[in-house]
Formats: sequence, C-alpha cells, structure tokens
Amino acid sequence: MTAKSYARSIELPTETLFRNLKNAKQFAIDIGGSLAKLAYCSTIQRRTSMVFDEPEQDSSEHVYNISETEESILRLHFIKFETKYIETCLDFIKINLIESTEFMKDKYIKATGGGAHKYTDLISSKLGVQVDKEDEMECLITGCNFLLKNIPDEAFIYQRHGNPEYKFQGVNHNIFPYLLVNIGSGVSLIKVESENKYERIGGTSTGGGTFWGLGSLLTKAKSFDELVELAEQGDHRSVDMLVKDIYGGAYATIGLPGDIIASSFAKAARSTKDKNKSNFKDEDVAKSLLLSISNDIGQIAYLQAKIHNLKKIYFGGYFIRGHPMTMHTITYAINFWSKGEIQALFLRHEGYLGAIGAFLKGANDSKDDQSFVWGEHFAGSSGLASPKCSGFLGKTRSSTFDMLELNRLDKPLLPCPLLLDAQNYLPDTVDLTQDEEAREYWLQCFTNGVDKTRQQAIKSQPQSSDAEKRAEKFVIRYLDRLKVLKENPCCYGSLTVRSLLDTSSQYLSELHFTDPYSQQKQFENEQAVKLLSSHLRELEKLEWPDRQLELAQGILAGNMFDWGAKEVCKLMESPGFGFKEARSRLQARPWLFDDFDEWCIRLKTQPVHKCAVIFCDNSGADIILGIFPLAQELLANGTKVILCVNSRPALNDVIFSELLILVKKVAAISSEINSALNEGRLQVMENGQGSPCLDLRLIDNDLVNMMVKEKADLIILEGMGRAVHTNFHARFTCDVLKVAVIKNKWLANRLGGDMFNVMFKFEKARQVSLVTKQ
Amino acid sequence: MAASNENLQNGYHEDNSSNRSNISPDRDDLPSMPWFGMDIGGTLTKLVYFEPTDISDIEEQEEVETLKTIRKYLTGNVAYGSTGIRDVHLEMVAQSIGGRQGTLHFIRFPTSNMMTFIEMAKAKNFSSLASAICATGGGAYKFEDDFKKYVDLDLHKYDELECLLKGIHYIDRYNSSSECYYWKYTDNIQQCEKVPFDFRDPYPYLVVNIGSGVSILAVRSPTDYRRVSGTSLGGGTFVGLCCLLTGCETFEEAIRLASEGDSTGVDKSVSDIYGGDYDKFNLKGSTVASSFGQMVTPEKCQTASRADLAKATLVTITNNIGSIARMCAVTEKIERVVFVGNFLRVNTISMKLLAHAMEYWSKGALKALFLEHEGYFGATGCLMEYLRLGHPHINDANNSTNHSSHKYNHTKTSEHGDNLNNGEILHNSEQSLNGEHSVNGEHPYGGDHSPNAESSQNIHTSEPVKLNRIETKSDNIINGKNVSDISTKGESSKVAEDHYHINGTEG
Repeated sequence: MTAKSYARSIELPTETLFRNLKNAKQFAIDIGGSLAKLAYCSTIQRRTSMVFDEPEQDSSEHVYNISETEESILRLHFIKFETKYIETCLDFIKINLIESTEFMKDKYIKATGGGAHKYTDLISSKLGVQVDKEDEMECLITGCNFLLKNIPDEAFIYQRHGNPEYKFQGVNHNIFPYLLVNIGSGVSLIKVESENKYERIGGTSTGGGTFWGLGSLLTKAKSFDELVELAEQGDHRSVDMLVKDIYGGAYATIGLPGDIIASSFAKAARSTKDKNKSNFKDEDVAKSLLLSISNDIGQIAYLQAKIHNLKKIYFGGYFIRGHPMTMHTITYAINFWSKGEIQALFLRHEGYLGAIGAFLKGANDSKDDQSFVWGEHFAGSSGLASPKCSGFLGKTRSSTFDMLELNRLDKPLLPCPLLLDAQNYLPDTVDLTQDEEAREYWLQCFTNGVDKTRQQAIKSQPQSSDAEKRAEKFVIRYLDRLKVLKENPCCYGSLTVRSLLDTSSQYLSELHFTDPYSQQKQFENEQAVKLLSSHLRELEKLEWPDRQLELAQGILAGNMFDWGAKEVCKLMESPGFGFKEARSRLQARPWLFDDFDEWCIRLKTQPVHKCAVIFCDNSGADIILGIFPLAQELLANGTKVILCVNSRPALNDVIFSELLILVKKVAAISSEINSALNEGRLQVMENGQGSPCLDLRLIDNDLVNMMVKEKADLIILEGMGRAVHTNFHARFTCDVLKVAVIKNKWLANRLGGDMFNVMFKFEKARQVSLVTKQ
Repeated sequence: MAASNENLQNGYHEDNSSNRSNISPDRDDLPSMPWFGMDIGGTLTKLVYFEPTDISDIEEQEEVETLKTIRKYLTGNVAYGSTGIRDVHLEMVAQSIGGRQGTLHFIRFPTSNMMTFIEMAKAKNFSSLASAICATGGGAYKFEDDFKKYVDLDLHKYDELECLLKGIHYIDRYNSSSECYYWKYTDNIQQCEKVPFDFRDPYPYLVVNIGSGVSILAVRSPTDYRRVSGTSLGGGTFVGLCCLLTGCETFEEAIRLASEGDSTGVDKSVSDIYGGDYDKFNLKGSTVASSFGQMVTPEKCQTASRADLAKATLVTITNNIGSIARMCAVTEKIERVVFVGNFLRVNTISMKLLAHAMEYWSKGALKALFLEHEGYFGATGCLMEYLRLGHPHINDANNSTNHSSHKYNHTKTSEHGDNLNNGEILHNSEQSLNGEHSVNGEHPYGGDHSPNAESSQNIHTSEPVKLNRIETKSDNIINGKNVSDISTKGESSKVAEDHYHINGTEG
C-alpha cells in the first residue's frame, strides 16, 4: 500500500536537493533515529540591477542609469532525509565540494541528535572534518527560539474540522516563556524562559519510540509513517473500552462523555476469551495506539504547563512530523484536559529545530554576526504535507526529502511603533486559507498572470541568451506552487495575496530575474520627471481647496500606473496612455470610500502634523507626479516628510536606490523639495521589505527609530498592495490616510464598488487603550 | 475458614413464608437481607456480601430457604462457576453493620459474565427476597435494564467515587489488621518491604484507582472530594496489550509472565541513546527513555521474549500512572497518594515501582500508600450507601462496635480543628465512643449521632481506654506489628489490651 515510497535504494534528486552546495560553508547536522537534517550556509550570487547617477553626464537622456551587477546574499539551507541515506548524502557532499579535502581541512561540523555519536566516525572519515557534538536539547531550544522570532506564521494551531485547518500565529516578538514538548523516541518537556534559560521539567518514556515499537510488534507496518497511515484508517472503538462500554452511556456525574476512552486496549483483553485475537484489524490497533500515546503526552504536557503556569505549549519531534492525525489527537488531548484554556501549538519547521540550533552554535563560534534577521525563502522550501491528499505519503513531492531555505536580510526588522495593537495586528485583509471564494479567485488570477510575468521577464533581459529558458522555468515552478497551494492552502503559512506576490518575486529572483521592471521603471520615471515642473506650476495656480483635491487626484491618477494589475497593463500598453488619461478614468466623487472632506477639515482646522510617513507605491507618475507634490504641500505647511519605499524590487514599485536618485532630480525642479532635503525635513528611507504589500510587523529598524524620533503623527499608505490587500483594517495611534485606486474588478465588486473606484480613507488617531497607557 | 462457617453448622429451619425476609436488622428501616454491595467495573465486578453471624435460633428457623441458599452458596464456596472467586484472605469478621454482627465477604467475577450472574440470580429466585440490589460502577447503569428485565430487580445506583471513598474509610477503620501500608527501601528490590501505615488521619490524600482505566481523586474531607484526573492507560490496557503481545489470556497470567521478564532489552534507555548518563538533565543512563523503543528494529523484536514484553508493558503502564499521579499530587498540593484498584492485585512489581517512582521523582516529598482490599472499596462503599441512603433515619450509633473504631474516633478528634475544646470531647468521650462520629457529625455510616441504650449492648466494651488518647495527637503511633497482631475475633478483652498497648506506645 505505501511501499511505493520506500524504495530500497534512492537516487538523490541532487540538483534540487543540495542547492548551492558548491558555495557552502559551515555545516551542521542533526541525526535522529529516523531522519537526519543537514544544515549549511551558502553565498548566493545573483544578478541584479543597480541604478546609478552619472553627474558628469547630466545631459544624458536617462534620469539614471541601470547596470546589471552581481550581488551576493547569504542563505541557510536545511535538508531533511532519512537517516539510512546518510552515507549516500555524505558521499555526495564530498564529491561536490570542489576543494574537498583541502577545503574541509581544519573545519568542523556541528553535530547533534541522538545519532550524533553513532555517526561521528563516518562523518569525519568521509568529509575529513572534525565533528563537534552539541547538546540535543540546547540545539532544539535555540532552533525553536530562532524560528519563533524570525519566521512569520511559524507556529499554528491545528483544527481538524476547522476553517482554516491550520490557524497560523503570525509574528510574536514576545515568545517567552513557553513549554516545548519534544516527542522523539521518548518525551522531554522543557520550560523555556529566555534565550539562555531553560529547564527540563519532566518527561515520559511513552513517546514516539513506544508508538513505533509497539506498533511494529502489533501490526504489519514496516515504518513509522506506515504506522501513522494505518492509524489514519483505523477505528479505535473496536479495541478501546469507551466510557459507554462501561456505563452504557455517558458518565454524567463527572461529565465524561460516552465516547471518551476509559481504558485503552481493554477490549483486546476481553475477546481473547473468544479465541478471536485476529479479530483486531491492524488499522484499529494502530489508531488505538496513536490515540493512547497522544492523549497521554497531551495530559502530561497539560499537567506540567499547569504546574509551571505556562500558557503556550509547542509540540515537536518526529512523533508529530506534521502528521495531521497526530496533531489532531494531541490538540484534542490538550483541549480536553485544559478545558480549552490552552491550545496546542505546532511548528511548520519543527523537524529542523535541532539542525538550526546546531548551525547557530557554529555561527556563534565563528563570531558571525547573529543580529541578522532571516526570512523564509518560499521558492526553495517544502511546505507542510497536505492532509487532504491521503495522508503524509500521498503528496506529490518526495516524502523522503524536505527542504527549508532562509535568506539573510540586511537589517533587523521591527514592528511599526504606531500600530494601535501590534500584538494582534495582522497585515492581510483577506486570509485566503479561510475565504474559499477569494482563494479560488486569486489563485486563478495569479495563474492567468504568469504569462505576462514571463514576457516581462524575458523583455527585461534582451541581451541574455537563456532568459527565455529561465522564464519558462519560472512558469513551471510558479504554476506548480500555485497547484500545491490550491490543494493545501495552509502549507506555507497563511495564504494571502501578499504571500502569492512575494512567492512570485522569489521565484523570479531565484531565476536571476531580480528586477524585471527596471527599464520600465526607468522609462516611466523619466517621463514623469519631465512632466513634474508643469504639473507643479498648475498646482500652484489653484486655490487651497482645489489644490488639495488636485493633489489627491494626482496620487490616484499616479496610482493607476501599476504593472501588477492586469486590467491596467492593457491600458498602459495602449499608445498615448498618460497621466491625464489615467486621471480621466478615475471614479468621480463621491468615491467608494470618500473621506476627502474630513481630510481637508483636518488639514485646515488643527495644528499641522509634525511628521508624515508616506509608504509609496509605484515608480513613474505615481511617485513623481502623485507623491512628491503632496510631500511638497505637507512640507510647505511645516510637516516633516519621510518617504518610505521598498528595499528590494517588487513589480514596478519604486525602490530605495532609485528614489535616492529621483529625489535629487525632483529637488532640482522644486526648490521646496530641495531645501527640505537639505534641511533634513524630507527624508528618503527604506522600509526593509521587497513586496508590493506591506507587513508592518517587520519594517526596517532605522525607519522605526526615525518614526519615534520625529514623533510621526501621520501615516499615508498608498496603493492596493499597501492599503487594500494589506492594512485595510489596520488601526494606528496617529492619523492615517489610505489611498488607492481599485484596479481589480473582482475586488472592487467585493468592496461594493466597480473598476477604478477610489479609496480615500482618512482615519483619525485612535486612543491608546488605557491598559497600554498605564 | 474463619468464624463465618460456624453458623453454618447450626441447623436451619425451612420456612416458606411469603415475607421477603425474616432475618431483619434491629431496626426495620434497613433493607431486608441479603445485603450486597456490588461494583460493576469495565473488567471486573466486585461483590461484597454481609453474612450475618448473629442469627438467633428463631431467626434461623424463620430464615427463608432462598436466603439460606444464597448464604450457604456464597460462604460455603471460594469459587463460583468458572470465573467467580471469593478472596478469602480479605474477609472481615466480626463486623457490626446495621445493628447486626457478621462477616464481610469479598467476591469478584469478570463483568463479561454479568449475564451468567443475572441468570443465577434469577435461578436462585433472588427477587423473592428483595426488590432491589445496590450497585455502583459503570455497569450499574449499563446492566440496569437487564436486572429489571430478567430478575425483576431494581438497581439502586450509587455514585462510584462516593462509594470508593466510603469503602476506603470503612475498611481502613474496621479492618482488624492493618489495612494501609507502604513500601520501604524501594530503591532496593531485595530489601524492599511492606510496612503498615497509620491512615487514621487521612486528609488530604489522593486516591489513584487503577481498574480498567485510572481515576484520580483529591480527597480533602469525607464530603470534599473531586475527580482531578485520570488516564485510559490502566489495568485494561495492561491486560489488553499483553494479550495482543504475548497471547496470554488473563491478568494473572500476564502478571506471572511479567514477573519472569526483563524489560531492558525492550525499552530504550537513556544510555542506549546518549551512551551513558545525560548529566545535563540529571538523567541516569539506566532510566527508560523510550518504552518499547528497542522494538523499532526487527532484529530486536526477535530476541524479546513473551515475558520481556509483558514486563515492559507492566513497567510502562505503571510508570505512566505514577508519573501522572505525581503531577496531580503537585497540582493539588497533596503529599499522600493512595493507590487502589485490582490492577495491584498480586502485583507487587507495580506497587514497588510506584512506591519508588513517587519517592524518587518527588525527592521524597510524596508517599505512595497501598490498601489490602485493593479493588473492593467501591463495592463496600456501595453496601454502606445502600444501608444508609435507602433509609436515612438509621440509628447507626451501634455500628461502631469493634476495636478498630476507636482508632477512628481518636483520629477524628485530633484531626478536626472544629473541635478545639478537648475538654468537651473528654467529657463526652463515652458518647463519642458510641457514636464515634458524632464528635464532628461526619460519620458516613450513620445518620443519628445520639447514643442509645440499645446500641450500647452491641458495643465491645472498652470505653475507658480511649479517654487519654484523645488528648494527644498521634500520627504514627500504631506500630504495625501490634495492630496486625490483634485478633480478628474482636473480643473485647483483646481490644482493650491493644488499646492500652497503643496508649503505652504513645506515651
């Protein structure tokens, strides 16, 4: 039945498996009884566009120049494979590390896990490195802390019959204290109070080894996964004695429902009398075994959490390994015992805790800066197994190998200080894991858009001979991912428009299409800069109220130029479509969301804002003709302005390096901008992101500091990605203006409007709740 | 056989009176005989039978044939059918219940044979004697309809937990030999020995009742108790798994196998994983890290014997219960943990393991206690409930007839803070002796606490003895040897002597 997945010998899918192995440095390995996890760090060289200004060639036709350049980023790779393949894997590493023995000389590999001591000799002889053993628990905890702090949606609640099935926990910067229940062969319960303070508060010998061991004795299952699969199909009621078997119904006086198991396996004792031992189906026995062990662990975990007053319990270890059935039984047990007060939490990457921890130990030793932040590289990572396709083994990808990749981000990311409720803030407006209709629409929408992206990618690299090939690969991979997400929307954390957009740009970047819109952006910026002077002059002529409206419409018209929206692409591709044409397409007032009057009243009647933080959207007309004039108006009124843009490319969004040049060009045109720039009243900053959307949980450290320092009291979120797909519901402790043109018919309809309808929402500062204030 | 058979030697008169019973208690508000308490569990049914030994000649003559038959059948045999067994070693003689003297017999049979029992009750025309039979345990609900349908008997159902606690309190107090004990030197199997424990001042304590499944109760007073936890991994799991793993068929066989086995080749120890102790977490190399953990490799499966597997099963289940019990004790802030239930029958392996585990993991803070009548407390308590609850106005003062009752009296006095005035207690000592529980009004077996002349006749007269004992708080004053030396006959002279003895020890 499941033998297909357990071929005796394997051919390593090495091309995709040990990615970038040639550039690898610093290894760590976590060897468990059944699975081994290898970790290494590699330097990824990739081509990217760079913009630069050439002052000596002022007469040049371009607003700035673009050149292709190599950039290198650091990436962490984690590969999980069955321990029995360890020798094959070591051989592969040996062969593929070019400098082999020389390279490995004087190097060490960090090893952890129960099998570490068993394979020490093999590793050192194969790779010629020194093997440093690291404590297993220590590694687990280090790894767990790392994931909880770095990876959004790492933790989730599993609800078998819920919608969604996986309820992700977002990002929480306060992760301590928690209880980590590691279910390997046995079970360890560890109370973690801080990065360095933890304690094993208990354990039980009834763990994964018991399940597997007893299961091997009692059923024909040949492996752990087979046993779980058997359990999936079983019915424990033929083996277990339920409360109703004893009572004939529920035990009402102490509130035990009839379906509760009173005595695991007790029916097996009874029927031997009838000499029908063979009565018991393997499936039923496996199910009973799984339930009894899960319930037991759940109970013990609950009791320890109670004794130590811990509210968060994370479960990990090979017993869990993402098996929905196991997560379900553990969840059930914790709910049952805690009467719903505590929820069992699981980790998307629980299998990698030890390997991550061991790797970080090594990184610590080599004094690599640890303050870096890591982001999940979806394009190179395996998702959770789909519970929908017949269990763990039924999924399309290899069950033997599993990968996780993390990219090092340049700077630490912090939550926006102006969020009203940072703890409960969720960036995304629609959770596609829950909203089936929206999911269907967007997955289809992105599927349809793949070809346009392919064309743009090819177009962006006319000089490259393999651009077409690479673009084709992008299509295949991204479509494949969309298919996986359709089957199991939860397998990469919350599924949102944001995650779909981000995954697309990761795939592009992976195939060296780092910035496919660079020329497009350059062209549009140039066109817009040319129009700026006359646009500003026209604005100057207007009286205050008219000017405010014109400024608003300018942003909206600029925001039409969005290559991320397919309806707009068609328009923009038509000849002669410019800023004026865009303006004419806008919805007439009253807009779909129309707080323009309130905005004007605010500008007129109250003290001017101290500092406005504008999260900008597109290049070209949007930033130049929409945002800069608004910034100029604000500056003229005495408000400081921080223009925040993406750190890394995404679609045609303006990025930091471009804006640094553009602001100078604009300063040359506008004296107001020029003096503000020189006096520091106007600042250009990066937001730390590379997405068309905006996750205010993780923005650039310096930007956060600046917002605090300048006492920012106005936030302007511009564009669909930042104000509709995300942050639509976000509340702030300061005034906020959310401006966007809705360039998607389906979404417009959903919001009760139509294509090119306008959102101009002005929300006044919210009171900080008393609790927070005190 | 003990005293119980003496009466059988007396002749019987056959009597076909249509009265349901003509052996009656002193007060007619008690149910007619026979008096049973039944606890129908998931695996075993436990039956406690009160055999009156004070039957007068007249009563004897009037005793209906049916009743006589039942009495003779139950007391004259030690095995019933193929599966029913009377635990002779547990019987309690010279009990005074409901104004009657008699012996408590303890009988068990598999719940799966309940229909046989019901048929027998029908065959023996049980319903001609009584209209009801009292029962507790889940089966009281499950088989209610069957009893009605086949035997025309109403099941008086009593709460399982209430019965369990009443049974424990009754037996502990009225068992002439020491009921409660603990294991000493648990870290050394050879040295490990059973030591009586004075349980007269029991509160608060945790009861871990290991039947098919496990229930854990926190008991703070006779009326303040709560089921705090439980686990489905209990005796039923042990037998069920052993049957599947070894092909054995009974609990006894499984225990016998386990006693011959060695689980170290089945389980994975800390040293199997780490190559030695795991110092960081203070885990000894010999500690079991993963029960059955070695069985993941097919070769190891081959070398494990049936006995080894049975032992591993026993150890796994036992340690798990110990672990959960220990955590419950911590969350409930209770230091005494009393293990009961038929899982512990002929199972010293588990008892010693539990005793050791409690002591080791709690660093000596917790004490594991055991009771001789392992699984019979529910049934005993059920009988008590039947005799009281069915007839709320029982004048029960004369229940406190045998010497063990004095222990209770003494204990109660010293324990309950609401009677701070010792002088008053002393003053009332005679009264409190008779109606021992009147001191605090919590006697679970009697509703009326006033002494009465009638009842005093039944009391073994050793009143004066206790007076000075009440003054002193004493936890472990009863040397186990002394207690167990006490004759089970309940003669007053012996009792008095014992009390003096105890007294002496105390001083």
